[in-house]
Amino acid sequence: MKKKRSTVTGITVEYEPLWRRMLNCWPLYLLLVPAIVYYILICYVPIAGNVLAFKDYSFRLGIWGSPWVGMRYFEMFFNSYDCWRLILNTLHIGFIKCILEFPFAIILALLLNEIRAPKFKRVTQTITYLPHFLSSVIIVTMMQRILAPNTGVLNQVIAGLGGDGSTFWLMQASAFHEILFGMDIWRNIGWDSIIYLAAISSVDQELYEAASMDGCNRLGQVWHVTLPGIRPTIGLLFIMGVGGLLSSGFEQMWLLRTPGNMSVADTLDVYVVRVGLQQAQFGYASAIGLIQGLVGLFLVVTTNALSKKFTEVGLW
Amino acid sequence: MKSTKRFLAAVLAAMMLLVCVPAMAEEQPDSFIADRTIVVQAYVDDIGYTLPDDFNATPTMQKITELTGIKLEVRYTPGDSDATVLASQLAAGNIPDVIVSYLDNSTRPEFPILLKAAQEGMFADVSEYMANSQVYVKYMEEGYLPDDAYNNITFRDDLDGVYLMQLNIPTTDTSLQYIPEEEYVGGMYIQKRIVDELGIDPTTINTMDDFYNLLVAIRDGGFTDDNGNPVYPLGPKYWGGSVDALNYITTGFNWGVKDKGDVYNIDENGNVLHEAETDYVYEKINFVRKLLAENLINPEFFTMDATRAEEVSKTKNSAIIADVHNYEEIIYGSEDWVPLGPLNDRTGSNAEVVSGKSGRGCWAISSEAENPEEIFAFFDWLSTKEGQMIAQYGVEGLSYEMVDGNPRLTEEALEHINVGDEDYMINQIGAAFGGSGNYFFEFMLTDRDNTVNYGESRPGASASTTFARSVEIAEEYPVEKRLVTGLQASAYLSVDELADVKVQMDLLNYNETLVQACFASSDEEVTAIIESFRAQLKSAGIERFEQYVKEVYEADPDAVCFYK
Repeated sequence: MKKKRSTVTGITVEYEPLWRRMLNCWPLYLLLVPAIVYYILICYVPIAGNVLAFKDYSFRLGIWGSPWVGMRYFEMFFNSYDCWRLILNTLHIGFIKCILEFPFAIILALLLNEIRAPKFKRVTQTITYLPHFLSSVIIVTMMQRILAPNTGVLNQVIAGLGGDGSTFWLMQASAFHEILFGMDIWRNIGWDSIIYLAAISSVDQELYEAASMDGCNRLGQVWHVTLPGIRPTIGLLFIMGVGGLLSSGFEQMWLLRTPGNMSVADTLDVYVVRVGLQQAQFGYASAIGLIQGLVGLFLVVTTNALSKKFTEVGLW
Repeated sequence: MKSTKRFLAAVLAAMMLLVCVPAMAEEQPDSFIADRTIVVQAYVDDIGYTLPDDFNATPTMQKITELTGIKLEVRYTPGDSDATVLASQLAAGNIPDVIVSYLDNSTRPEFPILLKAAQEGMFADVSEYMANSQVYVKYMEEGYLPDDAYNNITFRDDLDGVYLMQLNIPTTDTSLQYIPEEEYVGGMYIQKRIVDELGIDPTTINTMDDFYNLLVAIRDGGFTDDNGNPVYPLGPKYWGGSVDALNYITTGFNWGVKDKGDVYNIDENGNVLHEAETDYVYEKINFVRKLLAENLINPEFFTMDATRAEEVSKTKNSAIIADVHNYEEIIYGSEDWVPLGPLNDRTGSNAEVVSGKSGRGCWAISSEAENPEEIFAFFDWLSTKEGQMIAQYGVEGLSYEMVDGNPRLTEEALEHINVGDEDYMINQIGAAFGGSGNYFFEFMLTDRDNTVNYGESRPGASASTTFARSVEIAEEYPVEKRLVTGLQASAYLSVDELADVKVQMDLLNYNETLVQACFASSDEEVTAIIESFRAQLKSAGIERFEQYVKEVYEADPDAVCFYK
């Protein structure tokens, strides 16, 4: 039997070979099968489709039979008039979604953790995460109604206060980022806070008692106990979030985009669908998708390395 | 004894044969094609929304099966747009026997996708079947098809066969004739009460100044909608906000030929130019900006969703609907709305521009389909006089009777149609009824001339009360017609030598740029937006395209639809 010494406790632990452990725990491994199949089929097999970025796709010949065109689509994209505008727009929105919105879920989790009335806490939590279950279509339609010129709630309030109630907010490029930010926060803050609440609940209660005895007030306990306690969770989610910096999300952008705000709302995700599906330029769209994926991978790897170096928190 | 038995057996066999032969002859009429099911994938939302619950159970389809042996399985997949679904399914390579798509002309977004599929051998070559057909053989006659359909769609030089058949081609070119029973009077409609109160004749509103002054008069007139709110002088299209409506409201500032929806034309020096390269773009934008600034137009004119657009029209929140036609219930259902204008184009004419025959839709047979000759024969039969009659009117004795050699809807059918009973038209009969019923049968026909063939422009037109107001409007507000020959310039973008330009040009969206400029915060921003678009056009290679069209036009001025 294989033996191995644990490096943490110094105690010698005896391990059985992997195949024997799998055999002994086969029901558990069986439960794992659907998840593995899901990841292989949905996440890994489509990666092979990236080869389209280097091929002139033919309906008849399919992905593998289509002729190679080398880096043509990449050159086309980087030489196109829209390229840098699209990249900048995507980075801008990626920054809002991944970086700017990031602390809000943590703040909500900290606030919820401080609520002492359990019923009020549960109701508040439910109300905050319910919007997550609404589809983007419903949310954007609500926004369109709320922000409509003259008849929208916002404009009516403005008009009621003596202002100009005819502003067409969704046609104003200058208001787009604020609208997106507000909508995104409202929709995701509750749902995103759940994971932090779970992490907070696992912080050792004795640390709070010790901090209290050392004279820490509640704010001090949050700062010196809670936040350091959930630092690994924050770190992991941040690293994964950074990977989405070059991805704005399609659905929401597609629905919010109007001719008036398209100078800032036209992003790579929208462009890929517009070009790839609507104009059947599958190779070109795949090339742009591949660029997004590779940049995302690079960002995750780099952030992970930096995080490990400076905070000892990392994905691997 | 043995020989007697043999004799009796032979007699019996002969008798059975004699009995069976006429029976077999009865089972297979002359129009019989094959005992099979044809699977059709439609990329046409109008077909999708009017599919019967069980296509083959409708009396119309049962009659067709009785005559041809053919059953149909028609599929429709909803999506972001029909063109997107078409592209996805062609890319996946899983098309059934037949595909049907919108295709008015070769400038439609579906065309490059269909052409790519045809070039890559996804469709069956039907040239042989066409030559031996009853109806489609006419497509091979010179001058039968519109030039665009002939040169760019069906008989392209760069295709080694015939793959795409355009649909709904009229038998004879009546495009210059004004036939009230058949006219779709589209464009702007104004509330009748406003016309009366202002004491104007809506047909005399023709110039851009007339139009602007009318909008101001409506705004200052204090008119309110059904909910008591002030009306917007100019509201969006009935079917939802869209930049297309600019064709009707800024007609005098449109650079392209009126009603053709193109943005190219030729200047006095013989140079082909995009509208964005001319000053007309600024005139158009500035006009809309003036309307927006003076509260003369609904600010959601370009973006309002279809449901709300319908609502603001029905509640009369729009004094003028930017675009609707006389066969929409809001128009024919009452006398509340009348046509406005039409406005003059930049040449000073308000005549509707036509370019001869036109088609609508297209179909193709998959190269993987079994016995494509049977499929072709079926759709060919469907467009014969007999096939069209069943497809449009249903079953004799059930939904129509023959009167003086022409089909006429029964009283019962007329009653159902007059009240818009969709279940009756789609499921209980399953015929097209002029597009009000099973739209598949309306869409899949060609070589059409209802007036000559059946003595009325559409089923029930001669007796139906439903569309009486539609015809009345067409009679009261006749439109002049004007012939400007040639293809839209953008049709020439699909030639092989401009493939790289087309790829880049397809990425540009002029309409969105226009709206963006209309909502710009300053004149400087408008200039910046337009200059940026001009730079994008140059970067895409528009000069090569314009030079190509110029050469085509110089060689044959009838080849391109420009103001002559």
